[in-house]
Amino acid sequence: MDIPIEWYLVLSAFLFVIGAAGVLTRRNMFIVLLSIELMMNAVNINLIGFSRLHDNFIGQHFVLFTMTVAAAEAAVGLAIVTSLFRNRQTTMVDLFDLLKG
Amino acid sequence: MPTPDVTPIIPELILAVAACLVLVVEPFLKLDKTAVVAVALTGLLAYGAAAFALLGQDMAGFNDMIVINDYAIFFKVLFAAAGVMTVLMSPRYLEAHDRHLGEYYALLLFAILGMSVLAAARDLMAFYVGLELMAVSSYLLAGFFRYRLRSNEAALKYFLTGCFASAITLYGISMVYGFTGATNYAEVGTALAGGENTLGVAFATALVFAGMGFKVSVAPFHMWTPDVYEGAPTPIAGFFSVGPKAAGFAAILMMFLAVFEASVDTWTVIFIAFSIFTMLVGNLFALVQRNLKRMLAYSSIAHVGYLLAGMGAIGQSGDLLAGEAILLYLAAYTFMNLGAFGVLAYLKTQQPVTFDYTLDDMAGLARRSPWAAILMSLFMFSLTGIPGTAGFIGKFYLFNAVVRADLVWLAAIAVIFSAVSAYYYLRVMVYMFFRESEEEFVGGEAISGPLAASLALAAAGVLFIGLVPARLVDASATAFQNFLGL
Amino acid sequence: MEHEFASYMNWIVPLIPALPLTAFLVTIFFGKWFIKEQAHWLPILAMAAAFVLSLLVWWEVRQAEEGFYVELFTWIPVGDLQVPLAFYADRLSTAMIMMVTGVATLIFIYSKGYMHGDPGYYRFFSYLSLFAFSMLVLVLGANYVMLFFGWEAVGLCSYYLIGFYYHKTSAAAAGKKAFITNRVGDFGFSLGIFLLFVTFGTLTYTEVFEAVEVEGAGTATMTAIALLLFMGAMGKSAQFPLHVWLPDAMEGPTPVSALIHAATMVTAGVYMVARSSVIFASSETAMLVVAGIGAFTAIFAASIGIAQTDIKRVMAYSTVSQLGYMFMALGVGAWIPAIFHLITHAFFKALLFLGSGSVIHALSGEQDMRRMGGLRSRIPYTYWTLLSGAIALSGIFPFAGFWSKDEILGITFKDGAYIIWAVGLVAAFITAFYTFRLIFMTFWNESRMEPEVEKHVHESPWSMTVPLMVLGGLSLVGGFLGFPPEAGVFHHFLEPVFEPANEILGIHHEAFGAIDLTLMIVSVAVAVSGVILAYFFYVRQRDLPEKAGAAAQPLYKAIYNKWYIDEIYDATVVRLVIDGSRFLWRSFDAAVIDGIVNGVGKLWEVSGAAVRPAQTGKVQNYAGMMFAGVFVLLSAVIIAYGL
Repeated sequence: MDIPIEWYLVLSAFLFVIGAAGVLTRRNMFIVLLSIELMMNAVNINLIGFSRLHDNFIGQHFVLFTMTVAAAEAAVGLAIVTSLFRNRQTTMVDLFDLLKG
Repeated sequence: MPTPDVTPIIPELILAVAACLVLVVEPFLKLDKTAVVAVALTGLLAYGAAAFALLGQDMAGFNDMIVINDYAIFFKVLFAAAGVMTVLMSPRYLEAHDRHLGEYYALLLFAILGMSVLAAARDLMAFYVGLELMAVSSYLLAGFFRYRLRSNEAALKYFLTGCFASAITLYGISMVYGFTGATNYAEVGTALAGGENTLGVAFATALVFAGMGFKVSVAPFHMWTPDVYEGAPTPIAGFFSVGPKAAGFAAILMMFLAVFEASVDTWTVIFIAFSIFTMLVGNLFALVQRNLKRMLAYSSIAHVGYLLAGMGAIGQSGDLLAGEAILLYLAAYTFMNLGAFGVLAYLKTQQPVTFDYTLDDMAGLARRSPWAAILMSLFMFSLTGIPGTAGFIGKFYLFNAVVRADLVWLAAIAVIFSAVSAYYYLRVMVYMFFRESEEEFVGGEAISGPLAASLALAAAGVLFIGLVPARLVDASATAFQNFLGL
Repeated sequence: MEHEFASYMNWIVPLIPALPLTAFLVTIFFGKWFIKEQAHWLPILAMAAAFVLSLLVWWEVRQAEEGFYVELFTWIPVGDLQVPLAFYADRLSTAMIMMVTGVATLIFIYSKGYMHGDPGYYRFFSYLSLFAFSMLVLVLGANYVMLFFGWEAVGLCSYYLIGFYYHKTSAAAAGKKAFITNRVGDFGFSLGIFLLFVTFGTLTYTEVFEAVEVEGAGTATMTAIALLLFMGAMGKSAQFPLHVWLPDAMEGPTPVSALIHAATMVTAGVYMVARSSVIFASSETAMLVVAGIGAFTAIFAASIGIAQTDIKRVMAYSTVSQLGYMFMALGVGAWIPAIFHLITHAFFKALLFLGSGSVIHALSGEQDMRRMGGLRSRIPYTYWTLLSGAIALSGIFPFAGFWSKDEILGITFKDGAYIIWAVGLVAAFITAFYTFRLIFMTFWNESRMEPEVEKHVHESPWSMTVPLMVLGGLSLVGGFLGFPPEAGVFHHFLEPVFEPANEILGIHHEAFGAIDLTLMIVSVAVAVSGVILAYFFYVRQRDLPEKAGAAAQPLYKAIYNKWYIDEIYDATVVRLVIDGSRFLWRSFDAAVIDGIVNGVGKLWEVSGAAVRPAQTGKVQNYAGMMFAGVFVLLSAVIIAYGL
């Protein structure tokens, strides 16, 4: 049985919006990072779904790149969190507002 | 399997090798980092020279993912110049902060590598990889002073908003792939031109615009800009204001002219609307800043507004002139803005503790350090768009192109806003020349060494473009026409 | 008839601006460490050489009707438009460069004495040279882009030089004010140039004017172009309501006031309008506006001049008023008299400023006329030269100002613009009055100086008095360039330049007739009565209490009674005029005009401060804003496409 493309798209759209909502509302830096991962994975689902639809591998190649990039981003993100925590002993993103105006 | 022809990426290869070499050399050095700086500089110069040597080439490689042509070379040379200036102004600055580490240069080179790929990409995948390479290196550079709260915070903000923006772009790209089944610009363009799902395409256009808008700081996607510039090391802030911006526009031009050619009516309106909003936001916020780094950040947003007007003109008329003008403007902007940040970096090295980039810190500068004041004035004049400087030439061509696209009203708005900008640029000069410093400032060394070379390069660029622009005008015209014939 | 120019013109014309540029570069780079106190030599020599070259150019140009065009290289290529770096020496620009280089040479020499011992000596001379270069580019450029370049560059130099004493906050504020006010004008000017280019596709003078004559454009377009260009002229030449910067600009050193704010830069607007005579002539509305603004400025500024006590401020308002005269003349199509007045004004106003500078120099920096007086015999050279300048400015026969001013008034009358003529006449009366008020208050009567100042009164060194004498001579005889009226050497020289514009306007020459003679007598009478009135107010009346007190004889009582009437006048009419003028100056000029200029800036700042809290510093708000942006964008797309 073939799963229609719409199902993938709806799932991905939901994941993307959930991820975005997480980025906008959660205070803990780790949850925010995870929410960003969620948004990236929504895109991955899109790409894989379309790859099946078009019956070519470009989408799957693309997913390999996004996953690699996501890994790099996560590494950098964690490094930033570490140094933030060292300086301020907190990971609540809304406490960092020295720079404004 | 045949060996791929590496000609199109020779400059990038050189840069990658240099960046790795920096990382290899660094552990063997103690306090003196001259060797690392030399490697980075050599790499950048070789990269620029290799690009220059390939001038006139027009070929694509790696399954048409990446090309070498005059357009890509124009940007490569520009990036090399920006990179050289940034590297030269860094050592003294980093030493003054006790953070002179080799990986700084490696990250800078990697960022430039990403920019270079971005400008040469002809495939959404290459585009994405270039974009992220540039972005990830930038996040780390913004937070390079990791013991400083402000630098930390800058990295955090840049990182979070950046990832958010790239997810949005990526979503748009995935939709493009969904509609066309391809990621190659030419194929996507053809498929979209023959397609029918216009709302979806408009959606994808808007999403990609938002993501790219973040990179070049289009309001309201701009809010990271002032905070990141303020928190990041000054040479890096200067680099951010010119490098990724130029690369972003290189990609925007290509994206919207090649990929989204079909939805030209949609994006023309988007660009014009956001141009006005961006000019307004940039100028309005810049007016009330007393911190020069923030002022320059907001003013760079205003400059993006002018450039967006140029994009609107391209969409409106399909005229070549606006594209050439954007290239020219980016080149002019690179020299003048980086120069202004260079002067600030110099001042910070003189007073690492007390200098806080505020207007009051600039008071009486003309007396303390006349050369710094003169150079700063030159860059401020250029940013204002006074004739004889690069900024005037850039604005002249850009606004002229906008007028020619029958957008006289938009040009008028841009001219009004750039008249407003004179207020905050020239205010810096008022402080430097006509105010006395509150506290007595002792000694300080003259501008010298690499920093002097960097500022001289920037000043020479500003004056050269301002006084004899014909060469560069020709170059940007060839580059842009060459790119259109892809 | 094509004239063959001598081949050496190809290099002497570009050399004229190049000389001061070289002087600037050398002085700014080597001044501080190497040249130091000798910084005046190179600029003075360069300027003098430029003057000699200008004479050579004049020698060549006077043999030809059309101008000499030399192109160095393409400066800005814009698509099909090529803006070359090119110079155009026709009769108009030749007249201008002779004036600019000549007056500048004298003022440079004067500065050697005036600025002696100033810590910024080399800086001063380098800025002056840069200014001279910019001004020469402005008048010699062959297209509007070069005009604009020079236009902005002279503004910049003026900004630097007004704020030369940068430790004075008032000087800094004045520099800023000048810059901001000029930006308003320049904004219109640049739009005008844009519109010109859009309409005619070229910015080279000869091509533009030919296009205007041959094809023309709609009246509305021509009016828009002319008025936008005029907006620039209003800023640069300090016309109402953009005149506010010029009086404040007097914060700069006096040679700067003389060179930039009297003789050369402020006349750039007049030059530009005269240069664009064909464009202005194509629009009746524009001509009317130019004449109206000019006439109004002439009388408005003159009336303010009465109430000033600072010697340089009197001169500043006088300059604004005289520039108004020039625009008045341009507005009625009296192109040549306007330029003629520009040249004579350059002579005598530079003289008046330099003379005032010499007075200030003698009084160790005192500028308030109430604390001067009795200087006639103490600084005789300054007195006599200043007096000749004052006579010229007042328009008394046969000095320079008489010929040019009378010609303007004559043409307005004959043109049927009686209101403008009347306004001009009243302004002439006031001019004579305040000019001699200055002379009397400064040089006549008893000394009112501070004792400490009085001890040090001394005549200025030769480097200051010699330029004064040369300019004094020019003020006396310069007017004969324009003799006989409307048919002098000067008129014949400039005639070909304005022929096309006169053709459009349908102006033809009338011979000098009885009406001209009558008008001449009227204007001399008006000027003389202004002088006499000043004499009564500032010399006679002051002496009276003293004499009456010494010998209270019946004879004097009669005189006293006569004077009683005068005092009524003083209490009513004069008080009214002075109060009115003070009112105009304080409330209108200072409150309304300055208020608008400052208010626009304030509005921006206030709204900037109001939106500033939007940048909260919290990263999630930033992301939220981005999300909102995307949301709005997508909604707009959906609305546009319809779901």
